[in-house]
Amino acid sequence: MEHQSYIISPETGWLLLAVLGVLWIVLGMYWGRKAKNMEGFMVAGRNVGLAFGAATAMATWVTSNTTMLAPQFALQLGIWGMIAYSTASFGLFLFAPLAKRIRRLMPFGFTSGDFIRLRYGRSTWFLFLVISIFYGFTWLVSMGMAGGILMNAIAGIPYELGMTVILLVCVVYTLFGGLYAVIGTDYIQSLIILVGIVIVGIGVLTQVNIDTIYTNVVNEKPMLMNALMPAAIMAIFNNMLFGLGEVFHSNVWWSRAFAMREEVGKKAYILSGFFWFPVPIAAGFIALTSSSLGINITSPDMVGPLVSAHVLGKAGAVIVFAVFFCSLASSIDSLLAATSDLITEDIYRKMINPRAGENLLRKVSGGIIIGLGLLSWAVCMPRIGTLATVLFFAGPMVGSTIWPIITGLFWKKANAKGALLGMLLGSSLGLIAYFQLGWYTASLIGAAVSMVTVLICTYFFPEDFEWKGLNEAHASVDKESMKVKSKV
Amino acid sequence: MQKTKTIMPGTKHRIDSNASIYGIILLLILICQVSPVIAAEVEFSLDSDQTTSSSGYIKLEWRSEIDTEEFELQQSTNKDFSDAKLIYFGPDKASFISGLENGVYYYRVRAQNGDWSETLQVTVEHQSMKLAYTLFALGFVVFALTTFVVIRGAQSTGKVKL
Repeated sequence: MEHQSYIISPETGWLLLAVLGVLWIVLGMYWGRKAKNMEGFMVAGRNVGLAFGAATAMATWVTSNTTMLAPQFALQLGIWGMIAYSTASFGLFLFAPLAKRIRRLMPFGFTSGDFIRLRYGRSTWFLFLVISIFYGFTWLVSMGMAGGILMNAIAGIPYELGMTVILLVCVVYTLFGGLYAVIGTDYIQSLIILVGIVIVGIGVLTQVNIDTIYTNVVNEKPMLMNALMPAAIMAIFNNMLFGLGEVFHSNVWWSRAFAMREEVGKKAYILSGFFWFPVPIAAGFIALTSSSLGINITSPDMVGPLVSAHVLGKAGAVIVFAVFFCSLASSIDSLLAATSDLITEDIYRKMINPRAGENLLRKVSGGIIIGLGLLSWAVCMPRIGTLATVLFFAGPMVGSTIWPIITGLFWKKANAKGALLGMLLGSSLGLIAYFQLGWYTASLIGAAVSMVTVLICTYFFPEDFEWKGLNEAHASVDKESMKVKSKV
Repeated sequence: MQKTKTIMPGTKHRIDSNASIYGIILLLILICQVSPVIAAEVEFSLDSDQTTSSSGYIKLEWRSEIDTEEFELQQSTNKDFSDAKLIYFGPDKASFISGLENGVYYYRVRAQNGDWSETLQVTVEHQSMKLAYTLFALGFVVFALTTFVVIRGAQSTGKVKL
């Protein structure tokens, strides 16, 4: 055990864990009552409004990777690292027009995999599924790990137990309520996150003098204030493109685009981007205070929770605990739901059993949620690295999907050859950069290689795609409602 | 520690047989009490005593046989620790250090009142600025073109009937 100083007692930690766990399960089951069919379970009846839409996008994007990784960025890469993390909000801003386009082109779509299959064919679809499921899984694992690390650092709850409880709670309510439960709980969680971060921010600012922080960092960690820190300069666009790739390709965001009402998606994503933008800056700033507060950081991903809890004391640690629990739960549930949809729809229904009825699909979906939870739990058990190393390993693959997605949505000439080669070459060369140059270059290289490949293939092998080919009917969609919606 | 002086070898006090037995017992007790401190060798967990960092940060971890004592971690830019700086004092067995400029840094750790560990040499050599600027420019181009395609695409397809 590296860290021995806990902020609240394990008893208080367990009590908080129990209260929050029961609360989310009850609320998830309450909202999940609406999920009477697959349309409700997977895309919340395609009727989500602006408030819930913006809240779910914001809460899902405020993950452990924001509350724990943004401070880690600041501690490792300084001022630029802090700003670099906040650029991930461009993922939400730029997805806003995509969400509108997606909803328009695919009124009955269910997953991002549906789009790739219909737009580029099966070969590209297979590769995309590998990338998307791998990414979703690494995200899930990084958050399961974050839950265990957090509860251990704040309350001394053993890593294995804390991680198990948070995964279990999220599996239970996602299992019962699907996307309805996810979006509903996200709404409450986003409120708790925002209020909690404001309280932590005020707490830090009232207890620490800005001049003291600045002097301390300049003296003790001079490179963190250096605007010409090479790794930080490289990380700026790397992180921005990683964020773009994450949002553009992941079914977490596509399922929300399908779930929101047609006129809502664009506004909801822009609003969520504005709400999200200051969060990593606030979270990153507190990391820079760790040295002047005399807090020893044993693991860089714990700097945020440790400083917050230290500044606010035991009572404040309860708020911090709740905020971090919410940020973790709001993302784990989304990932469980979206990845399960991807596997149910794209692998089970499309490849294994095309005639599966609604009841069977629902059972399969539930089984996949449980299976994902168990698999994540098994991988989380041995703590394999910091959050950054786990998550950014998927960076080059994620970055390589940006251009196949955007050109596929807007350019008739975009073709399968470009998409397939773009993802393949981008992922491969990006992974080489990950090992040769560092994790802070991998997404950038992946995205750049993919972009060049897509542009060359579009120029030399132009396609003339018919957009109507994306409007695919689904077996579980009520035929009458399809006709009505098509007329509208 | 004061008591150990009375039974150290080389004492000129006369010792009778009972006293010698008591002395041996006392010596054994003291050895048992003192030995954990002597045996509590602290070592860095890294495989080598030399390591490099291209980003100015490093996580130092150390091993010790005793969990309850406090550790002292020092940093210096001289091998002889003539300008030693206390980096950490407390019960943790790791410390994350960041924001280091190019240069060679030396670290040593010890349990309270114990012996210093072997010195760990960390060489910080940041990535080249040329590479950083190249990747920054590349990233800017990719981001700018991506933004252009999305905004232009949304404008041109927004009003087109499917």
